Amino acid sequence: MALAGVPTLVRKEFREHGLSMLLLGGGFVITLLLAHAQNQQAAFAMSPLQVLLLSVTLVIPLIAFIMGNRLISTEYLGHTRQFVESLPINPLVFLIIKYLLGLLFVGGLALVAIAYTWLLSDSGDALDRKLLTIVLVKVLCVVFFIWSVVFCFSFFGFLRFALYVMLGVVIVTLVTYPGFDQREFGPFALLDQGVFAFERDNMPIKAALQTLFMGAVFTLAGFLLPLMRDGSLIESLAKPIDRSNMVVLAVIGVGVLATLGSLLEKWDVPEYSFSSDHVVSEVDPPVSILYLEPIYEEQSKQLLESMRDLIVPLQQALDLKVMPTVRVALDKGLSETNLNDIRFGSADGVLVRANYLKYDSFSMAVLQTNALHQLIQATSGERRTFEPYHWLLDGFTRWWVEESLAIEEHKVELFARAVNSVVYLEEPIDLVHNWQWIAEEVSYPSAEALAYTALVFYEQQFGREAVLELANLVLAPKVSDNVFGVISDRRISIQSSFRNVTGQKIERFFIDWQEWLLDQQSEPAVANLLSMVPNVRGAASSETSANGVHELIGRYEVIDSVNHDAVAGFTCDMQHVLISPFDYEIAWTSGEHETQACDNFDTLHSVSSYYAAGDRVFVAFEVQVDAFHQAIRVGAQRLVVE
Amino acid sequence: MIALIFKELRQLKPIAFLWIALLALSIGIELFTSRVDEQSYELFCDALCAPGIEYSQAIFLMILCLVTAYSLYPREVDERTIDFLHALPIKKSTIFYGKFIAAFGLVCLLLLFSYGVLSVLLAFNPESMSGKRYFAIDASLFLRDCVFAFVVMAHGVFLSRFRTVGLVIYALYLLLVRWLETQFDGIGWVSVFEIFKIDYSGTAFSFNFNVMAGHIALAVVLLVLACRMWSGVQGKSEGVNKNAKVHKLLKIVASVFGFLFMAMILVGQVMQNAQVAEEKAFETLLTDHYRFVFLTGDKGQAEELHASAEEHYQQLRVLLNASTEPVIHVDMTSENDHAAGLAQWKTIKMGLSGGESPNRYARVLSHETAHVFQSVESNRAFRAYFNSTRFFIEGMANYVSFEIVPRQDTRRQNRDIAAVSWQRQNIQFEDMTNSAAFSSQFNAELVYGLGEIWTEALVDVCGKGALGEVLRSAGRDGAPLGLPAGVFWRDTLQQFSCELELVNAAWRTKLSARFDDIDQSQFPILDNMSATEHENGVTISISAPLESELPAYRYALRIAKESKSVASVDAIFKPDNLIVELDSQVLKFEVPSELTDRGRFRYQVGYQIEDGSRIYFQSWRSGSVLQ
Repeated sequence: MALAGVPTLVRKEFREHGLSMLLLGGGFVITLLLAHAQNQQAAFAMSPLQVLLLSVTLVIPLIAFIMGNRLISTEYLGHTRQFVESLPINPLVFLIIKYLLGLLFVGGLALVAIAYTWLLSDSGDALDRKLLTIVLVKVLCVVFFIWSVVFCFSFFGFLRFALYVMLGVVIVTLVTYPGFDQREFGPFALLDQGVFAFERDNMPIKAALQTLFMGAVFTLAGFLLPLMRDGSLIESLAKPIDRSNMVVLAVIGVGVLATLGSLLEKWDVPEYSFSSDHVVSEVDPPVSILYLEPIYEEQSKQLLESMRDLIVPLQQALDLKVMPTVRVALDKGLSETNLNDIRFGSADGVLVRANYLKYDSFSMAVLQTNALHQLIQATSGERRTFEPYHWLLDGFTRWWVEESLAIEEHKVELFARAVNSVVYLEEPIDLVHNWQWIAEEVSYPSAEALAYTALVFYEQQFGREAVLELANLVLAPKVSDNVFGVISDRRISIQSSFRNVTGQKIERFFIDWQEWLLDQQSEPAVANLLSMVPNVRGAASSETSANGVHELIGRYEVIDSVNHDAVAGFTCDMQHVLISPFDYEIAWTSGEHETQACDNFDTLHSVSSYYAAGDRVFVAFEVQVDAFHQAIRVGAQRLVVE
Repeated sequence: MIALIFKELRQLKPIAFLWIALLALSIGIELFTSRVDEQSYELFCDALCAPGIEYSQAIFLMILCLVTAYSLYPREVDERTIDFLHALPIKKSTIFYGKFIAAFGLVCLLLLFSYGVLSVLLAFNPESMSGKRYFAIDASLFLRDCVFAFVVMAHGVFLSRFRTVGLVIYALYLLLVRWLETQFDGIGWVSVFEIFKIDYSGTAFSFNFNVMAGHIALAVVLLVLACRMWSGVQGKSEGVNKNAKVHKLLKIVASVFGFLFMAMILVGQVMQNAQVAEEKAFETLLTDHYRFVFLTGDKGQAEELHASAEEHYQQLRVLLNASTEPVIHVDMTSENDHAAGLAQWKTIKMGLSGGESPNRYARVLSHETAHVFQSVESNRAFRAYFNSTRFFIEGMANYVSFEIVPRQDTRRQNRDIAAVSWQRQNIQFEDMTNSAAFSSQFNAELVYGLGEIWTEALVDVCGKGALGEVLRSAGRDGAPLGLPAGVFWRDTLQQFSCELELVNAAWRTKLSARFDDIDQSQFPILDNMSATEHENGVTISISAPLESELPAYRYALRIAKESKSVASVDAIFKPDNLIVELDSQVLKFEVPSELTDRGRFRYQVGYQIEDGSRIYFQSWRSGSVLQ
C-alpha cells in the first residue's frame, strides 16, 4: 500500500520538473562543451579532468541549488505539500522520492561529465580504469555531499539563504584559517586542485569516508526535519522570517564572527632563531646577532652588549612583560653608508638587517633605534606606527638611544636636521595629525629628528619621568587586532594622555617646541652644520618630445647661493615610483633611484620612456651632504604624467 | 505610478534585507578580524577599485540584479496577481516601467547605502595620508555600478520571460564571451563586464563611454521588447487552456530537439576525437618509474629518452635523498606553445616533435621530474605556498636538471641574464618570494636563473642534503600554514639548521661575482622609446634608437596581454624592420593596436644574448601612443 502510489508520485515529479531538468541538463552540457574548448586552448592545461573539477565545484552546486529549490522549497513554501500528504502514502516515501530524484539528477550530470571527459581524452592523457575509478569515487562522494546539504537546507524556507551564506562563511574561514589543513579533510581533500586530476595510485579512502559521513548527517537531518512534530516544524520554517528570527540570526552571526576573530588572534606565528654557528646571543633579554663570518664576531659582540644595555632598562621602564627576540643580521648586500638601506620586519618577532661593519657611532645609533622601533611595534601588536603615535615611537626610541650614548655630535646633527626641516616646511608642525605628510616632505630621517628634538624639549619642560610616563601610557599597551582593540586604544587619545601627564595641551607644546627649536639655529655647532645645507628645491616635470618619447625630468632650483667651502661635493638623488590614485606612505626602498654628482645643481635627472600618460608618479629629491650621515630631502611631489 | 513604485518596493523588501545582511556580514568580518581605523583606500581598493575588472564583485552585483529582475514578473504570473494589475486603469507599459524603475531604484539605493557604509568605515581612519577620502572616485564607482545594474536588470527582465531557459542562455553568453576573449584580441567590448572595468588617469576615474553607451542602448532595446512581451501575459490558469497546452508542447519539443542537438555535438566531438586518435598512432614505453606515451612518429626520440630516463630518475632521487618513489605518467603526445614541459603531481606533459636534441629532452624530463618530487616530498606544501616558493620550484628544478644532464652554455646564459637583471633592476630576495608582484615588475622567467643560483647558494651553505630537506621540512606534520613568505622560508630552513641569511648572502655574492665577469656590452639598454599610431589604424609602431652594434634581429618587445603573472603567454614581438635615420639606427616594432587599452600599454624590451638563449628583458614599463 505504501509503495502503491510511488509510480504516480514519480510521474508527478517528472511532469512538474522534467522540463527544467532537461533545460538544466542542456545548459550543463553546453557549459561542459565550452569549458573543454577553453581548456584545450589554455596555455598550461594539463588534463581534461581539470574541467571536471570546475563542473563539480561551481556548476553542479548551482544546479543542485536550483533543483533543491524546485523539488523541496517551492513545494513546502507553497503549501502544496499538504495536498500530497493527504494521500494515503507514507510521508517518508514522498521524501525519499524527492531525495533520490535530485541525487540521481545531479549524480547523472556528474556521470555525463566524467563520461564525456573520458571519451574526449586521448591516449596521452591515459585516463585508465584506475584513475577513472579514483575520480569517480571523488566526484560521486562530493556530489552526494552537495545534494545532501541542499536537501537539508531546502526545508528551512526563507532561512535557507542565511544558511547558505553561513556555510559559505564557514568554508571560506576553513580555507583561510592557518590552523586547518584542507589537504587532508573530507571534500576539501577530494577536490584538491593539485591532485584531483593526477593522483593515479592512491584512493583517498579516509577523505571519501569523511565526506560520506558528513553527507549522511545532512541527509538524516533533511529526513528528520519534515517528520518532526508531524511537519509543524517545517510549517514554522516556511513562514517568512520575523523580527525575532532576525535577531537570533544576527546574534548567531555576531557569535560566529567573534569566534573567528579570536581564532585568528590566537594563531601564533612560530618564533624564529638564527640557525648558524656565527651567532652571538643573550637569553635575558632575548637578543641575537648573526655575523656571517668569524672575523666579524668581536664587532658583533659589541653590538650585542650595546643592544642589551638599551633593552634591559627599556623593558623595565615600559614594563614589557613579553619580550620578542630582537634579531640583528649582518647583510653585506646592503649599503654600508646609506642608512635608508636598513631593512626590518616583525612578522615573526624583530628582525633588522644592516651592513653595520663600517658604521660609526651615529649610524650605529640609527640601527639601534630601528631595532627598538621594531621591538615596540611587536609588543604593541603592530600599532604604534599608526599616525597619532608614530612621532612618539620614532622620537622616543631615538631619544632613548641618544640618552644612553650621550654623544654631543649626534645631538648637533639631529638638531641641525630638525631646524632645517622646520625652516623648509614653513608651516606650523603638528606631529600628531600630519606625521605622514611631514615624513614625506622632509623624509623619515628628518621627521625622526623632529620627533627627537620634541622629546628633548619635552624632557626639559617636564622631566625624564614624564617622558617615561607618556611612553608607558601610549607606546606600551598591546592592541588587539579587532574592533575591541580599536575602541580600547582610542578611548583615550594621545592628546588626553599628554594632558594627563603634563597638564598642558599638546597643541601648545608643539608651538613652544618649534619656537625653541628655531632658537637652536643660533647654537654655533648647529649653525655651522646648517650652513653646509644647500638651499635648493627639486621639482619634476613630465615632458613628451615631438617624436613621442616621454621623459620624466628632475631639476633643481637654487634659492640661495650654495656653500662649497666646507663640503667635498654634493650627490643628488631622484626617487621615482609608480603609484596608485590613492595616497599612501612610500618607503625609500620603493621604486627607482637616479643618482649623480650635482655640485652646481645644474643637474638634470632624466627618466625616459618609463611612464605613460595618465600614470601617477611619486618623485622625491634628496641631496647628500658630507656633514650629514643621511641625505637631506629638498623636494617631494606626486604628479600625473601628461 | 508612484503608488505602483512603492508597492513594488514593498515586495522587493526581502532582497533589500538579503543585501543588507550580506553587507553586515562583510562589515562584521572586517570589524572582528582587523583594526578598522587602519583601513585605507589603498588597502581597501587593492582588489575592489584597482585598475581592471574585479569579476567577483561584478558577478555578485550581477546575481543580485538578476534575482531582482526575475522577481518582478514571474511570481506575479504564477500567483495570478498580474491579472489584477492589468485590470487597473493604468497602461500595461506604465506598470512594466513602474516595476522596473522600482527595482532599479532599489538597487541604486542599496548601492548608495553600501558605499555610504564603507565610506563611514573608512572615515574612522584619522591618518592624514592613508585616511584621505576620495569622494569623486566613490561617486564614479557608484555611477558605474548603477549603469551596470541598469544593463543587467534590463537583460534580466527580458530573460525572465523565458524563465530558467533565460538564465541558462545568459550563463552561456557569459561563458562564450569569456572564451572569445581568449581567442581574439579586442572582442572584450561585447562582454557586459567591460562596463565594470576600472581605469584611472591620474586620480580621476576614467569611464569607457563608448562601451557604456553601446550596452545602455542594447539594454533599452531589450527593455522595450520585454515590455511588449510581459504586457501580453496573463496569470497561469488551472483550467484547460488550449494555447498554454500548445505552448508547453512546443517547449517540450524544442527542449528535446535542443537536447538531441547538443548530444549530437557531444557525440560528434567524441567521434572526431576518436578519428584523430586513430590517425595518430600512440605507443607506450615503461620503466620502473615512468610510463611514456608518445606518437609513433616520435619513437626514435622516445627510445633515446627511455634509455637514460631511469638512470636520471635515480640520480635525482639520490640528490634529494627522497623517501618516495612516485611512478610518473609522461604524456609526450603534444607540444605546448608556452613551455617545454609541464608537471603536476605525478603527471608530466612534454612534446617530442620539436626537433630538439636528445640532451634537451632529457633535461626537460629531468626538470619536470624534479617538480614531481617537489610535490610529493613536500606533500603539496610547496603548491600551497606557490607564490612564495615559485622561484625555488623552478630554480631547484633547473639546478638538479643541469647537474644530471649538463648543458653548460644554456646554464651560463641563464645565469648571465639573472646576474645582469639582479644588478640593474635591484632585485631582492623579498621580491622573489612574491611571485605575483615579481612578475608584474620584472621578467617572470628570471626565476629560473635567479632561483637556480639561489639553490646553488643553499647547497653551498647547507649541503647537498638541503635540497630534499627543504621539501620535507615544508611538508612535515604540523607545519604551520598561511605564513608570510619570509617567515615561511625562515621556518622551513631552520628545521634542518640552515640559516636563510647565510644563504641569501651567498646568493648575492655569487650574483655579484658573476656580474663583474660579464661583458656588459652584450646586454644593451634600450631607451627613448616612443609609440605612434600607424597610418593603417590597425597597428602601432613602437620605436627606439639603437646605439649598439649588436644584431637587430635579437631584440624583442613584450606587450602585457591579459596576464602579467604568467609572462610567457604575453605577446612577444621581434623588430619589424631596422630604419636608418640621419646616421642613427632606429628599431621599430609593429604591434596590433588591440593590445593597447585606449592607447596605453605595459611593455618590456629585451635582447636575446645568443641564438636560442632566453631573452634578457628590462623591467616592465608603461607606454602611451602618441595620437
